Amino acid sequence: MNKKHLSAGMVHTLLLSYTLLALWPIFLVLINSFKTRKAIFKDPMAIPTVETFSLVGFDKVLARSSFDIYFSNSIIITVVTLTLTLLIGAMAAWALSEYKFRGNLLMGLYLAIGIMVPIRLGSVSILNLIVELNLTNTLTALILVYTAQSLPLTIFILSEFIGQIPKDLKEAARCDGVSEYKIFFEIILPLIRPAIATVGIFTMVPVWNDLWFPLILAPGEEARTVTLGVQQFIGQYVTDWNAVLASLTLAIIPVMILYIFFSRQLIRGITSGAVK
Amino acid sequence: MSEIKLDKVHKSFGSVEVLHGVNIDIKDGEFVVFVGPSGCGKSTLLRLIAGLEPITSGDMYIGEKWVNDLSPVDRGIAMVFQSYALYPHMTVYKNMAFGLKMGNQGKAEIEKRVRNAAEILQLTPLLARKPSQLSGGQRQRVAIGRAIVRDPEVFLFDEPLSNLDAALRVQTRLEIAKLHQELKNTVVYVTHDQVEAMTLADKIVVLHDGNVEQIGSPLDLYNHPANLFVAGFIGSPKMNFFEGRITSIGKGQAAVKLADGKETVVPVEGAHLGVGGKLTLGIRPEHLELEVSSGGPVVGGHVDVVERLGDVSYLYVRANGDAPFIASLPGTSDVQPGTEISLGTDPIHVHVFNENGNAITNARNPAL
Ligand SMILES: Nc1ncnc2c1ncn2[C@@H]1O[C@H](COP(=O)(O)OP(=O)(O)O)[C@@H](O)[C@H]1O
Ligand SMILES: [Mg+2]
Repeated sequence: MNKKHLSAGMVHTLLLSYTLLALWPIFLVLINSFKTRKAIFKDPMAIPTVETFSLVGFDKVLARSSFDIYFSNSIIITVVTLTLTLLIGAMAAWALSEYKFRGNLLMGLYLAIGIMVPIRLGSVSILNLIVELNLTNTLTALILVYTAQSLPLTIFILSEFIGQIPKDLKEAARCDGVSEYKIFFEIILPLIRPAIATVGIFTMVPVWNDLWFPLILAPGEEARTVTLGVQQFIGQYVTDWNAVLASLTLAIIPVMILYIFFSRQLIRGITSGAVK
Repeated sequence: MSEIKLDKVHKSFGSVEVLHGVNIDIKDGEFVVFVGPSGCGKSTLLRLIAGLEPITSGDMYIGEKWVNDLSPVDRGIAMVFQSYALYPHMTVYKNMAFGLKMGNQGKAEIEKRVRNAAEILQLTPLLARKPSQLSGGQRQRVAIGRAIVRDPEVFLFDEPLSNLDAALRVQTRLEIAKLHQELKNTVVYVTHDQVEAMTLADKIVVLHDGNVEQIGSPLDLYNHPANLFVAGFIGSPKMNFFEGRITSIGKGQAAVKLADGKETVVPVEGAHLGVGGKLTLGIRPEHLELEVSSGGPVVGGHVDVVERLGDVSYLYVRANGDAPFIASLPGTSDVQPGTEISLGTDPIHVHVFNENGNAITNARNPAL
């Protein structure tokens, strides 16, 4: 009895310390973004006080740069990518796991390769393709690339979940005269909502954080994302730490909102009851 | 009208054939039960009728329509699944209304039908609940309700009672029987439980390894099993079999030497039999009696166990020369375990099967 409590306590301590470790850099970013430049360098670990408090970083970011554009770019890219990935991914997963057609297995293998081979290996051909399509410096280019990047794993995970939905449910619906589309949207989708939320979080984070593709496909001012926008404050000789930290702090907010949205789906899905 | 006709229906999964040419005629309004051991192809046959699986070869008609290529909806069937298959994220009401909405019914009409079905099945207080908040029996009723609201020509049930406990099973069985008397739809019902089959069916189809062994009314199958398989499958406890060899053939009878060396005379038409041929005698436990009379076969042995159920007692007897057998005696008999016993039966009750396991007509009572 005692031993059990101890081990549970130890597990919690371990997890807590890991959480602290993981959150520490974010905490540093947060507190330092509200300090004067001098205070940042003097004592980076200190909490902002009345003397050291300053909003100069936010002022620079919001008022004296095009950060609003970068922000809306990042949000549009992430949200559209998420929507496309989840919708197309779920439909493809349903098709691959439900319908037996020629090339079914081959298609699955092809997608598995997509999981194993990093999309960045194809950067050069992707760049060529985007140039030929006249899509450089557009959000469309990034959305297309990110959707392609996220689809294989999404399909793989979702088809596992769809495979676990009892066959009887689909057949009962078919006997009820429900069309295949309705079966997908009104039975399958609600039942895999927790999985969709999980995949949503997994998809969202790398897309939001990516620097590589914005850099090579859309470095232009009007298609710039937040991660790329931050770079303008990081110079070869001087770095405007106030602005960098402030923009990073701001960049946390949208992901946070999306995360809260998805995690609520996750919990609702888990508590919505057994299948049987 | 919704009679169903299956004509030489074959079904293969890949290279494995699981149904080998099934012919069945089901009349309008009939309650038909497919019964057979697990894995014999009952569910597959039901799913073929439902249209959930394509037929490999053969023809199927529902109400004079050739339905081989029709989808489940167009066949006018409703199916109740063994797992209930309720939509877990919908309330009881929505579960029942879902199929109707797809059929473009008016809202008022849907409401009326769902309320009506809920009333019949005593589900009205549960309409707002989710399936996870229901007991097994309630889920079962919702599954049936979902079929009723669609007012189908044909109800298909796949082992609907197998997930219920014993008491609930009996109760639900009665409800299904009552429901059929009220609605008078054609019902095809699959079960591996011969008691369910006997109690519910107008007509039983006994399946074995993808073949139809026999089709008939419950009493037909009980009194005239066409072969050893049906004889052993229908009836509880199951029929006892005693092997023997023909020693002589007379007019309308044959003498048989049983494994314990005793000779007995069975009333059969001897035309196709030869001396020395192998026969199997089948005697139901309930037809064995302590008073040996009227020249029928006598079997004996050592009583191993006596199970007293009150109205009857089951005797498990280790036979002298043959396989063990069971006798069902009235509860008043006071046979003790460990004693030697001798039991007999009237020749009328003896089923005789030839070498191939097929029944030979009992000459004393062909119309038994
Ligand atoms: N989808 C399938 N693919 C391959 N074999 C199947 C499939 N469905 C059923 N079978 C086989 O067909 C046989 C009959 O199965 P089933 O109709 O479910 O039996 P029952 O319902 O009588 O227990 C079994 O041997 C089973 O393994
Ligand atoms: Mg079955």
